[in-house]
Amino acid sequence: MKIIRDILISTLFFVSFAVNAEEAHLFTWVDQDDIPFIQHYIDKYGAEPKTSVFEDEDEAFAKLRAGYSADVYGPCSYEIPRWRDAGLIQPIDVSKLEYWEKIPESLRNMPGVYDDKGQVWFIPHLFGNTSVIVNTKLAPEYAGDKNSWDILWDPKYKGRVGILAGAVDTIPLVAAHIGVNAYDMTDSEWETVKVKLRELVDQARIITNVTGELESAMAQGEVVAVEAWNDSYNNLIWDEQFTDPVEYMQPIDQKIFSWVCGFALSSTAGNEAPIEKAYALIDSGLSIQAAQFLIEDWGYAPANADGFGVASEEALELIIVDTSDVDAWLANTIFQEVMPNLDKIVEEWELIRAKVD
Amino acid sequence: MASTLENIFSRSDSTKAYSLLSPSLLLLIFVFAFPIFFLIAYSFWTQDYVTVDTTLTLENYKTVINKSAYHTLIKRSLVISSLTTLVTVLLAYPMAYYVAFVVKDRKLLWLIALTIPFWTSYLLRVFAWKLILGYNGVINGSLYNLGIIENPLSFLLYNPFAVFVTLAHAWSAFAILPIYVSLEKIDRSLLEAASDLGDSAFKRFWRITFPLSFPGVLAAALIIFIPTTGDYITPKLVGGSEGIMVANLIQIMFGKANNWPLGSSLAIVTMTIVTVLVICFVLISRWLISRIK
Repeated sequence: MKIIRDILISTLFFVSFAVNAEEAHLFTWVDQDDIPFIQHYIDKYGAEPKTSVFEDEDEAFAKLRAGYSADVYGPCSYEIPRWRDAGLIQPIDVSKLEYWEKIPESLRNMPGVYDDKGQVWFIPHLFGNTSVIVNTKLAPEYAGDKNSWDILWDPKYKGRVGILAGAVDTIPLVAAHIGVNAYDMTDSEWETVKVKLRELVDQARIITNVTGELESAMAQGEVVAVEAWNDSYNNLIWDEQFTDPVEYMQPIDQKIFSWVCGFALSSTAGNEAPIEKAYALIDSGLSIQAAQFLIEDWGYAPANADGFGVASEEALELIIVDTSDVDAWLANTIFQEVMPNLDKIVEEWELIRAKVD
Repeated sequence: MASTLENIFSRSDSTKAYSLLSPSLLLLIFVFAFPIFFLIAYSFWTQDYVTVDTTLTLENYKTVINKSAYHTLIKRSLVISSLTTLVTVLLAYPMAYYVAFVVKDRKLLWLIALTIPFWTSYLLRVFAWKLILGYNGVINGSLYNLGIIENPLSFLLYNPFAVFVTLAHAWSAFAILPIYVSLEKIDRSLLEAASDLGDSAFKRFWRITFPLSFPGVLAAALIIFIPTTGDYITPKLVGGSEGIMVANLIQIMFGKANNWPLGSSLAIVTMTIVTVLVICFVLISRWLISRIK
């Protein structure tokens, strides 16, 4: 009897694998595989898709190059050229997508989406910003009109600022602050940026990619300003124990950065699960439920503009995007793209960050 | 046929030993040697963007040897790990001595008690130090509540000091146990004989206990020095900028900087330096110990 039971259990186990193998597989950022993002898919096919997560895109890239594969990936737009050149993704037929038309014009045409042959490689899913959050109780001189990224280099706050460790966030920000376009800079311009970076590393107390660390340092008063994405700003506002006023800087004389994350279709999509299911996964991420969830729970703006219509008033107030005219608002920001010579820039940045260069 | 095989295998004790070990030995060789072999191979190739060029070249080694930033980084890692080794062994020795010589019964219980902090994962221990040394952490909080400080001390965390303290604590069990084992093996009658012949307590320790416990001290030092030079988690979590060590950069090479060949050569150079230092250390200390009369 026992052996029959064991055989039944192991068969069920393998059968469940087989059943799952027919569903599409999503490989994306931690937490972007939550139920609201896949609900649409579950409603359509009655089964959950397979999901796996990565913590950052370099980890994902390394894993994929080592042979791992899924059907749909969730990189950000500046990763697309590298993933495409490595043969990891394929063009997407947007006529098969439900919500393509709901995405604002400026996002549909942003760098990374179309290639020069008119094929689409990237579907925007959500967008956010990179700027500086400032505690205006501890640093009132930077409030309101006087928003400025200068605070990061202010000797008064030496050892009391935090920055993101990612080169794709910090380097363009520092470069823009001294008037250099990091996406098109000469070697001598890069050297001037490096000088500024060294000063910044001297000033910073925390340099990390774990946004929770930046948020908790702000909440404890350990730092006065952090370079962060806008979801950290929302988290600080929603933090009931932290009552200091904070502002997400939008300096008058400085455009802040926008980044867009979304979906790419794997070059192996359709091999295991039918390719319609992969498209359904993308639709699922762009659905209304996902859009509402993004605004109300994360503080990010969804690419599906209908999401602004269904989200709650208070959540919408916190979103720094001007929801009445998303295109115009985005036009006033700098899209984060790929920096040329990224590998070399990253290596040199990491040496500066370790204070050995 | 069977008897010939038997004859070969029972020819000598060492052949028997190796043949008994061979399954695990083969597995170890396969699991360790292959990755190292690939690491060496990668260090002679170059990578550009997404393609790896397999023509053999010394470019990577030249970069590592010529760029002073890498020298500084390796030096920093060696200094931190040497300091950690020194302090950890110095602190561990009295603890091991106490359990070996002063505790008479239930030694096992003492040893287990010494290792209890290490039943948690390494990562959790590092996080615990982050809480202790942090801005609103245990130390700052207590000092503030006692009225000793007005503002939290910021020099406790995110620097080499924090790395050194965390490493010294996290690795201390690895130091106590080898030293304990070699102290325990010392024949007590030697000490009795020495005191009968007129040696003071200090002389007994210096001329008998210490040299005989030296293999344990050496083992402890190596067990701590070699891994901590390449430690990655502790510098990343508590090291800030100045505490970053060479392993962090190697990880960056294999990750974000997308340059596996440079990362491999940096790893190999570090490994070689550590090996050379270890050999020198072992030879010199053995010679010094043998000079104790």
